[in-house]
Amino acid sequence: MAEREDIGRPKNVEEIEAQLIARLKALSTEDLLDVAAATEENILYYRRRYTGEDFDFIFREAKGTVSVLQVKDPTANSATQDDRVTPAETDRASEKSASEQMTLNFAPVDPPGETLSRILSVVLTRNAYTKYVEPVIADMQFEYADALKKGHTRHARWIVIRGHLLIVPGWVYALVGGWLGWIAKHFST
Amino acid sequence: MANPFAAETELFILSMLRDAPGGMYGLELVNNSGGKLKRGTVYVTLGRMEEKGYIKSRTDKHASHPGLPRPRYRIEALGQRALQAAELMGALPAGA
Repeated sequence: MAEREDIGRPKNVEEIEAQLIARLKALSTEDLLDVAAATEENILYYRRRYTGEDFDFIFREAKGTVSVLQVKDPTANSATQDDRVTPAETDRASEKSASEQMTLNFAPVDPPGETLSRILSVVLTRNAYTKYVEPVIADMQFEYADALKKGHTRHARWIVIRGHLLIVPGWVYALVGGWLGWIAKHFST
Repeated sequence: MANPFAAETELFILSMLRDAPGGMYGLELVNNSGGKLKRGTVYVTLGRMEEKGYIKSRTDKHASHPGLPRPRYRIEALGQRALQAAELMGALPAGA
């Protein structure tokens, strides 16, 4: 988890964004430890927590520009209307500016391999899935996040392609092994 | 002379795990193997070794990275004994 930093309690999103961009420019990508998700378009989403439980930010970084997508403020219910900082869960779209409305539509992107993982977890036995397939997908996700943190987006894409190819031997082994085991169990004399 | 208890790849993995008391991830094993282990098949070998009781995997549910948890492998007593037997028989693979 990224280290906590106290940025005080800004009054609006623009102010937050200006402060955060200034702070983020001073950080290296190595500091951005908690990568949430990423898309294929050179866009990196990540989140950092400031002031402990007070704020949880999700950032969007594209082509060197950093913007805040979502700010969760668990204390928003007890704060006054003027003090609130874009609580994502609250539907107050009509009262918000265009940049604030964007935060309401944000949904984190699944890490790569999640769909394949869901499919194979149904197709394969639990034992085969957890032993042969899940670790390969987990490694792919780990390497993918690591490459993005270092800013190597092309390498990250290659990791996803390679990861999907590498899963094939594992699930073929698991599938064939499962069948052979079943045949041996039911037809052996 | 070949060790009847474990294949050469398995002995290589066991020797790496013996030198890592905290255990290793599958990817770490591949990266530190100098090309002897392949990403595509390492988990098949590790799964087989776990079934034999040579190693044990543990998954950290509170991983520091996004996505699925990664299993960490540790050598078991039976694995230590298989490795010792291979050493006595001079059956350890080169580089192990």
